[in-house]
Amino acid sequence: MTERSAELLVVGGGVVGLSIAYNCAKMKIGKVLLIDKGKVGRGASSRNLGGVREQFSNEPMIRLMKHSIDIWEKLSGELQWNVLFDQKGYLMLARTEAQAEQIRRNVKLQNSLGVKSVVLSRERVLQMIPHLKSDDVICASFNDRDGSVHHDAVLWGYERAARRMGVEILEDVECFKFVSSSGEIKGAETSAGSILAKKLVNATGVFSKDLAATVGVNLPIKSYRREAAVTEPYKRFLKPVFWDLSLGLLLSQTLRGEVLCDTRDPWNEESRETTVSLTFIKKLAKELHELFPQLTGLNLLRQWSGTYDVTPDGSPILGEDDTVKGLYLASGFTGHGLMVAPALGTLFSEYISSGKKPELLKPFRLSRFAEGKPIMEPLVAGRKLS
Amino acid sequence: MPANTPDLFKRIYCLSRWVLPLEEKKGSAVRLSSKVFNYKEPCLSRSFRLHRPRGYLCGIGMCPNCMMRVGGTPNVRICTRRVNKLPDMEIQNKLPLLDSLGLTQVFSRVLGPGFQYRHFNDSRFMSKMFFSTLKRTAGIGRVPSSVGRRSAWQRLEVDCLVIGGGYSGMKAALAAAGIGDLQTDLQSDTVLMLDSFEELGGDFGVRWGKAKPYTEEMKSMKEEVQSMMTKINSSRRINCLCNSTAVGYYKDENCILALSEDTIYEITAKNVLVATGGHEVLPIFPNNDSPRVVLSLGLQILMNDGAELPSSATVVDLNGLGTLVAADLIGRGGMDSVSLVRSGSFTDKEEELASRFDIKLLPKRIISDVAGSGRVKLLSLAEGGLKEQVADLVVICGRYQPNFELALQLGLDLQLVSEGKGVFTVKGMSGSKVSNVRAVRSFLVKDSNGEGVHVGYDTSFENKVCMDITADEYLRRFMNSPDSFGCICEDVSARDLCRSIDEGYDYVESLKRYTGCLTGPCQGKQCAMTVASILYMKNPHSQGFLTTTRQPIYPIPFSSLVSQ
Repeated sequence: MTERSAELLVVGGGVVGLSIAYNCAKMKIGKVLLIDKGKVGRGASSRNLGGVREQFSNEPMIRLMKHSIDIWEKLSGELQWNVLFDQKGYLMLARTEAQAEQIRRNVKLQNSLGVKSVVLSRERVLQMIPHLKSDDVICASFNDRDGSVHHDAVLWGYERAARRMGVEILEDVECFKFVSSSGEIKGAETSAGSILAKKLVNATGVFSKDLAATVGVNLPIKSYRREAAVTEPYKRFLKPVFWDLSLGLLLSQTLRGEVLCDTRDPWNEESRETTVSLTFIKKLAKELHELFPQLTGLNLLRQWSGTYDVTPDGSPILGEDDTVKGLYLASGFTGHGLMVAPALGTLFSEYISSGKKPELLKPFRLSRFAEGKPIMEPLVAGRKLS
Repeated sequence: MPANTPDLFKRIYCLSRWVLPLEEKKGSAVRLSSKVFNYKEPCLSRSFRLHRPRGYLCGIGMCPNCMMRVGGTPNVRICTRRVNKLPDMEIQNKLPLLDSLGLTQVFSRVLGPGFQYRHFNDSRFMSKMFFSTLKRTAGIGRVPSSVGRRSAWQRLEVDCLVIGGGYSGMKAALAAAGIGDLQTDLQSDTVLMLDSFEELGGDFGVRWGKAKPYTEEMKSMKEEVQSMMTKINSSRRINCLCNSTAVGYYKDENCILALSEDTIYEITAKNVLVATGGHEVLPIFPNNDSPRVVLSLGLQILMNDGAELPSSATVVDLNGLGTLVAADLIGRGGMDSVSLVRSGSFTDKEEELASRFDIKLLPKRIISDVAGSGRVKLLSLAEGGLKEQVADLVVICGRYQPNFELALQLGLDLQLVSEGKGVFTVKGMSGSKVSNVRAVRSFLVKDSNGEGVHVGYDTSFENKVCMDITADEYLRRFMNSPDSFGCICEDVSARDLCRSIDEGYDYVESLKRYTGCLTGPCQGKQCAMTVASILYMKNPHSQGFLTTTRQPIYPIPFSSLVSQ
């Protein structure tokens, strides 16, 4: 087996890995090699609901997502591939005073950072979301720059563009461990032999914790199964992405007319399984019945599940590791990997080519947990953070 | 809800021993489709991508075609909804203007695979316009006008669950209860049988139950099935849930979910026998999605329920049942003129049967087009000439696709075989009595660990569900045709599939995501085998021919999942 070498080795061919590989190759930093243990984009990247939003509760994430949406808006043109970024808006519904308070606080923060989100009154909410039957709607936050993308289109777009830029993509190659010596990354041991690399990006989602541990880096990441469901196609009735903060019920109608449904998971144990459960779908049906009684007449077409790599504060861990030079971390997205991927691509390519950490990435360092400066993000779809 | 099902169907059968005898369905509810079926105006709905007209096709809830708005509820498959009187009904997705302008034909050529990804990239304005067009035209039904009906929820625990009440399922159930002539290592005190039809017997209940036996083999099969039914009926150990469909296996809860018209069953069983058989699928040929094209079982079900049939039909035989179906159309359906087309030749026995029923046999021919007015073009394989004839209906005796979804969810191994037969066979059944009649295609399997799922009787089966993915005459000829639809849910033509494979989407997961095949309302029940076959022909070394099967296997309304 010949030994391979690269300037940059990206481990993990999800949307984050592909975006970083593509952008780095575009910056002409040298040979970029991407490996995936299965097929490109077959993990969490193609199992999500495709939501994209700027409406976060903390400054670093809002800034990062604002940058990301700027890129999303031009991405189809850049990749010469329509990623179906549909800025249909994203609505977060508050049904308790505490949530209303959080929403108002968030919108204020978002506005101060240049995000044009608004607080919608109860009447406006009921106007915008038909069939919503709830007496306790207080208000909602809404942003019309948010929306959804087609995750597969994004993956193909990046994959095609990355190949065009000369990224070598190896599928069905599993990474067993990273190799480092005297505090510097040297490469990785894989099922296709060892690969030498001066720089390495760990973008392996729920597996990033195990791989980082092979060079002594401890990532505080837990893996959870996340379930979702989709209905048969129906004529359009729902414009924005709808998310009820009380129940965690999330609905989004795709361009094909199918309704993607999601709610807070009933599972609290760590798991990397992608099986589906009856418990989840019963819970979803019950909540749908509670908020949208008419929509219970829709037919459930299929259920599936994916994984979330969850950090203690709900924000990702991004940037070069302090102890192992050349090891770049990009994981712990807690379900927000797809929406930040375009921003990460450009930021990491600057970072890796210049060696200077971009301002936007600085707060997301791993050491923030040790320093006691977590970036708390309570608004995480599907999970209640403990 | 006008679906006033009689008491017979509303009873909960789990506690009482109950089997519906073959002939006992008179005066009870019939399928809505039998009241609506109209061969003169066959359009029941429209596909949502190209808005092509859709008619009654499979008759057993395994295609997207007959979805209508019934009593305010959208996307109701009228072939499985039973009623006593006609409710309010509405055709969904009406846009007949497109046909008269011939636009749907143009669409299928212009909107090739990946169209939406390749266009409107540079202009955000154009992209927005494109999205708004898509949003206006996509989807099938509108949101229901009222709250959906809830189901009763019932938990059942049994020693042995047999899914599928066909020939094999019955044999297996009897063996499990220790009364059949077959031995098995699992002896169960409580055996529960699930069947999605109103009566047991599989093909010998639904397809041939009401027909007179046309051949000696059929006569002996019917007698055997009848005697098994009597045994099941008199056994205290076997209970039956008819009209109940298993919709998925849930590993977390370790249960099989089954759905009847008004009850959900959560069934836990020590042993599960999968005998789900197979169903006919549509072959590919130009305009195979025409509303005049009907699968044979669907039409026989309409006959059972007393629908009015037209006077002429062209029967296309791909599975060997054609002669019997043609005889049934004349004998029971009262048709005047039936011609039977087959790519191969006919046996002496078949010719004898054909002359008895006045069936026009057309060997060595395949169907090559169906026009809207019922003009059917036949291509002679020997001479190469085209012949045109007029028929009210085109009845397809299609290749069988196994109902492998549940087997896969239960962790069984699924094997693909290619033996050049061009007809689906379940491997291991070929030597059995059943396949001589070629009417029942059920299977019994056990999982790779030998746990949970057991072999009932067929030791030659090799513990695998098998699918023949070889090419037939139709695939070979029409693989590159833009008007032959591989997937009728999403209007993916055979040419679209081939082009996508050429583009590099050459294993089923990527092909599915790229073209949308296997993701429509039928969840691959009409296209899985076609897609696998095309994939196999283009790239025999592909890494995957079958996609993960998701729960639920059949779409279920959310309302039935809301606990009471």
